[in-house]
Amino acid sequence: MTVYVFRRLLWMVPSLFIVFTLTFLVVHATPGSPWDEREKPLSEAVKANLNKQYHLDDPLPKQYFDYLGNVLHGDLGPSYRSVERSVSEIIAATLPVSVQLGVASLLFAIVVGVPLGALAAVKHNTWIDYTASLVTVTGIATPAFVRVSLLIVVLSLGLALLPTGGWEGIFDVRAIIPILAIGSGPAAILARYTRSSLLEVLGQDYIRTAHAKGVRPNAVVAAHAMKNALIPVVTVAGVTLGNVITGAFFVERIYGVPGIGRQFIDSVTGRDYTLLLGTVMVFALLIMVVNLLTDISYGYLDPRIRYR
Amino acid sequence: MDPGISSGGAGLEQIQNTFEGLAYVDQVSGEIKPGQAEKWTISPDGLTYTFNLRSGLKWSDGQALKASDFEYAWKRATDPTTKSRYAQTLWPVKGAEAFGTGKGTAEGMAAKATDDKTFVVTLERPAPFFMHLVATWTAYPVRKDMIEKAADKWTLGPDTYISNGHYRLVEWKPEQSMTVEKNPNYWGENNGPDTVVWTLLDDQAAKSPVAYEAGELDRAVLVGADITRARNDATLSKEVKKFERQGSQWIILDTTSPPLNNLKVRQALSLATNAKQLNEVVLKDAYFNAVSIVAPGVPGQKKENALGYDSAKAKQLMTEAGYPDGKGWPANVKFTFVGDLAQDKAIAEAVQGMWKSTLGIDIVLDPMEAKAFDQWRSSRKTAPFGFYMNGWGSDYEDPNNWYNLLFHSKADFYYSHWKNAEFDGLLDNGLKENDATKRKGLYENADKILNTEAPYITVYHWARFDLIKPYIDGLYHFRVLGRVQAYLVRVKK
Repeated sequence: MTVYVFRRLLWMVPSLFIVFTLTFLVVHATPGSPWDEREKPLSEAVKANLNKQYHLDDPLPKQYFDYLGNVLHGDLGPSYRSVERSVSEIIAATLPVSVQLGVASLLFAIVVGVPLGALAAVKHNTWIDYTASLVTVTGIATPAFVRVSLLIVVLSLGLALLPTGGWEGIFDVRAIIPILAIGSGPAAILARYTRSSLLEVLGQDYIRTAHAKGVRPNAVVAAHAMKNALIPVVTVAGVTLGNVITGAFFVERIYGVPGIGRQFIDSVTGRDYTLLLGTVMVFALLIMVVNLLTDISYGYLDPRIRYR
Repeated sequence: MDPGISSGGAGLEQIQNTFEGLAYVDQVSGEIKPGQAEKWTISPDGLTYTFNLRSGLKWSDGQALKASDFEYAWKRATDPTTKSRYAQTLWPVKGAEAFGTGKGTAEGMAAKATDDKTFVVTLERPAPFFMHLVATWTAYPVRKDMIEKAADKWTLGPDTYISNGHYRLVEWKPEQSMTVEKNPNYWGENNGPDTVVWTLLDDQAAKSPVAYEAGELDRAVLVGADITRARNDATLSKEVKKFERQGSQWIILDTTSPPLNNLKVRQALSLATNAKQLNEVVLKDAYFNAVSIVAPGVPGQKKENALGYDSAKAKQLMTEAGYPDGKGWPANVKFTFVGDLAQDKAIAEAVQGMWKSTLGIDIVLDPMEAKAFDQWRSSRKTAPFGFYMNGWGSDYEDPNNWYNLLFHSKADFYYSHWKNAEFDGLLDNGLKENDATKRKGLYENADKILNTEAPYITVYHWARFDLIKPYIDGLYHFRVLGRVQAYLVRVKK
């Protein structure tokens, strides 16, 4: 097990390196520069000086190796858009916000999605099952940015229950709309997987044995069936984290949450090369770590799985 | 947030509310008024400006403000390593351009504090518009000790963001909000609100009306479809305010590539462009109808100089140019624009239709992603093109900021590749002329040539729309730059 984890961790290094290189190449192959000319152009002299000061006029291979060297020393470079904060500082300020939001959304997804799926499985082919299906299919089919816009229209403008945007920490009412918007997609996916997986398990012999022994029906589902039914669900939960992150990109932007997803989008449209590379690396690392945790968790859920 | 670095985009409103230069532009009359300087004298040759600072000037933390603070700030903004997005503002100062391009030194820049209250500046050559530059944010004083202590991070908190204007920083939460309070050490009066909070939205136009309607904001920005929606809403329609912005949106023509190198073709295209319809019908009156190439109000601009709209004359000119009813018009004349901008797309499509129906010509629409467009546009300096769309707004209300900076053949800021010796000559003389009336006359003559030669076709003049709560008075956008000055605002509640 330890060897397995160690080997997986070691594999992350070349993976990150490949992500870094590909992103660097794609970013620099995309036309445009980081300087803001949306309203009216900057003068050539100013642009020439900025390119010189930020070494953007160096040959690309030199830029690549200089930047790689800096990154290896933990320096992600300056942000071109905001002179007052470096990329590392922006990530340090925004990542915790996104992590809190992501964890809360994932918890919401699990707390809502798994019981909903289980209920649909136990009551399958009844109106409860059909209602749950309708809700979950709608949830899967609606992108997060549509959900957040709908929630703002209904909860903020229509019912005036919540503010239209902003962030004052995870325990403030302003966190409710983003959590609902980000979490409801994964919740729907988890509900679908829980339902189908539980239905499959409920048809197996050992469940009939449990019923025959006289175990109460609720206990059969909770104690005997759920444990096995959850293995595919855990896999999906890991994968949905990707869903949580990409959903958060737009939700953060629309609801004005100062998270890293918003920085990612703005760095793409603003050609803030260093910030874009920094955020891509963070996301890559995050996804790799979550995948590893998912793999490790199988061992605890299913004793048949061994790590070599 | 750094006056020395800002390009005048996001952050300028906060900078203008917290800092003040030697002089400022009156936000109603447009006149230059004394700010930190009590008075100034200009030498008879127009080269030396001597500024006398007010007595007892203080920074927001109580420390005395000296002429040397201006010397430091001006040299810092010009220093290429400061990475200013607006460094050229101070280039008319002797030695500044050399310093700014790495060929000179800070000592060689003729901006000197001769004592605590006197600041003397010598120019490279006379610049009748120089006081406008003195009033620009790039020329605001900044605190040397704070910048040396905190480097680029001096703007982040109230301990280091020491200012000298009407307000001072209380808190800045990046991407969330900024709060300022009245600066007790400001020399003048401030009858504005005691504190001002800006909610910092990355997409103001999309989000501020929503927050405004939910009662979270006192003022919101309106663009595009929201303008029409607000105008048709019973309550909101009373809170919609339209302000003039001294700017022009153009179709820029490559005057050296056929068929646009033909003057008659350019004039025909300009005459066939129905600017009234573009703004009032296509853009639903979200801007002001085009008048002439240079925006109204800039000295030199005269609406009589414009070609105007005349489809019959346009047809005739096109026939004379050899393209009767569009016959013989080349197949691949491209019109380039940013496809993501709804209004640019609408204009491009409407103009394509107008030219087709009036002149019988076909042009090819060429939408691009915003940053790809910037790069493509920059490379037009030496490369041919057909048409593209872009605009300019006054940084200061002086002909230099338009004619000399944009249209002089040596500047050719928009790469129309248009050259006219007589026009250049008038502009060169405009820089030397210190008599305001004579100077205006020179530019009016130049304006006539510019409009007649039609290297640009104006599609509209810029506007600004706000939603403002009825209990707010004095919230106003001046036509130049137009950032809200909180000290002029009154809250009746």
